[in-house]
Amino acid sequence: MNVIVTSARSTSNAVRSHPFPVLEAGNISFPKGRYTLEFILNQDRTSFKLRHRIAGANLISRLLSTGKARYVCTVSSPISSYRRTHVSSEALHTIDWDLDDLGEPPLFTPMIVGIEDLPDCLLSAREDGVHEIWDMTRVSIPKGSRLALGQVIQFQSSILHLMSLQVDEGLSAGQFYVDAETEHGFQFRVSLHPELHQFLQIPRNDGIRRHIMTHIVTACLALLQREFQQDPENGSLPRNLDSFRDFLKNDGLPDWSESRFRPEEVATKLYPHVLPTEWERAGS
Amino acid sequence: MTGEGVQQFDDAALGQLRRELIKGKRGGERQRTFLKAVRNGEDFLHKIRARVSVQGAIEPPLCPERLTEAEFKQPPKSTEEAMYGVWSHLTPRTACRTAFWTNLTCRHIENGRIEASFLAGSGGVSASGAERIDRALKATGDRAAKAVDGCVRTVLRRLGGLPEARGNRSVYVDCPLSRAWWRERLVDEVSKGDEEVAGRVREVSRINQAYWEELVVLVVSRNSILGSSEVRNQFILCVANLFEETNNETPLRIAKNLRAACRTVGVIQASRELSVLSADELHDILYEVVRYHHDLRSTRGSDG
Repeated sequence: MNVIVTSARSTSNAVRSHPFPVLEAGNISFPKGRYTLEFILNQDRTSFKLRHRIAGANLISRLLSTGKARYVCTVSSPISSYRRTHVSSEALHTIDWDLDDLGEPPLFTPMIVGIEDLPDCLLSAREDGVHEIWDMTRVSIPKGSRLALGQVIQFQSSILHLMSLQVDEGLSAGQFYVDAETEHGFQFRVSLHPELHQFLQIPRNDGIRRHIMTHIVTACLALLQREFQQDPENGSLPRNLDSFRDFLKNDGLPDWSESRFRPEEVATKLYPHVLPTEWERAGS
Repeated sequence: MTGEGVQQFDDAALGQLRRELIKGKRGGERQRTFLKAVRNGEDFLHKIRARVSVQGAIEPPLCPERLTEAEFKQPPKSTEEAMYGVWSHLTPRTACRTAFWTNLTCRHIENGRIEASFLAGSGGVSASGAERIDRALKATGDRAAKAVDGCVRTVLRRLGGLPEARGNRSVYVDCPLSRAWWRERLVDEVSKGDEEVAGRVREVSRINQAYWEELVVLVVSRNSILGSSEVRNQFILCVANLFEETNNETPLRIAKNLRAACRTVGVIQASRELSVLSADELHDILYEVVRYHHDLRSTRGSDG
């Protein structure tokens, strides 16, 4: 399970001005507001369960409990022009997609959305949890208004679906380690220093993120070689690990039970290091 | 015809080849050799196939007829519809890949449906691709490097898209085969099988290349803002209806005015998730935007 928290006190370069209070990173409209999202990945790689939790933003909580707001998550793949909105009245809902619609690992944007026009809403700092600048202000909240907005998330690819990224505050800056969790299916539990964890949550296509992920994947594969070279005594691997083995075979790659399996070679085949071109080197 | 099995080029090797061609010396030997190969046709296919392997087993069908250079550059409506008919079972997952369309274009050359030199033809009624290559290779002085580089980029764009220079929209707008697919898919999505609406939407999508690029930006580059299919389809439908109501006498037929209307929708979407609205509510908001820009904009100006 991955947990992501968005709070007003988080920093953001994307703070916008809205005609009503919004709980989003860097926006002080709800000073004590916290929007927590739990992602529970399913083994089929085409769905996950998402749980939304709102705290410190009574206005939003009240609109949710009275049915005037809904839990929403958009799934998009701009490259293939795909975007679908999942709307739920339950805080825990399933988000799914069809791989044939996507040209890349999908992007997910969780949010809370108002589903009724609220033309004359008198705000109260004490009762609604809004900042004093909104106190006793009348606002109009039109249908479709985003009341809380989470970070855009992208699960990058197959082996990354097997990973659960966790914060370990005991680690030094830039440090990480990998463990295996086998209780419910199989997962690599990747423990990371908080800043490193935060850095990897946000999708971007830069070289540093790629190199870090290649390093983590190498460590995950080394763990498989070290601890799963022999099949379990009952003869069956967890289903998602079995699928990953098929995935490697389909790509013509050895699996961890074979003597020719080299973790770094497989990792850099799946996620090759990308060097700057001659042109980029000349420009640097 | 789903994603995994359909034949396409190895994406990494193809990307490397494109980068070498456009990021090396402008007008240098590498670019000149490439253009000579395109002019020759067969050399071009050898050159590509020697560098880039093909993945997947399922061969997508080819256009049934041989295309003239003019038909390839700017396929008529009927040709685009026929192309989409042949490839209608492709999935967006496949159709958004330059590696897929580049391989398919090469197969069209291999099977005599088009000639490699067509790839160098620029838009409009200017010289043929072969003439353009010859001129570029014969050019001297300062103009030579620019002409050769421009020609190489045109070839790569027509071949399957040039994302390194033109971003993700390239596959939608630059390659005639993929452009036909995406254009007809949009018509399909918006019209939902209504032939009359399909005709109107087809008009909107085919005003000119600049207009098509604006529509593509709407679905690709600004997908996060107004890309949801409900908003996108309703917006295009509102534009199509406006064209009909005004007998095509609307400033919204000019690409820059369409862009301005899209921006207004983007501003509304900054605070609101319009895709949760009902179709009627969405129509009311988007039609108001379209009508506002119709009334506001002058009919003067053109896309150039």
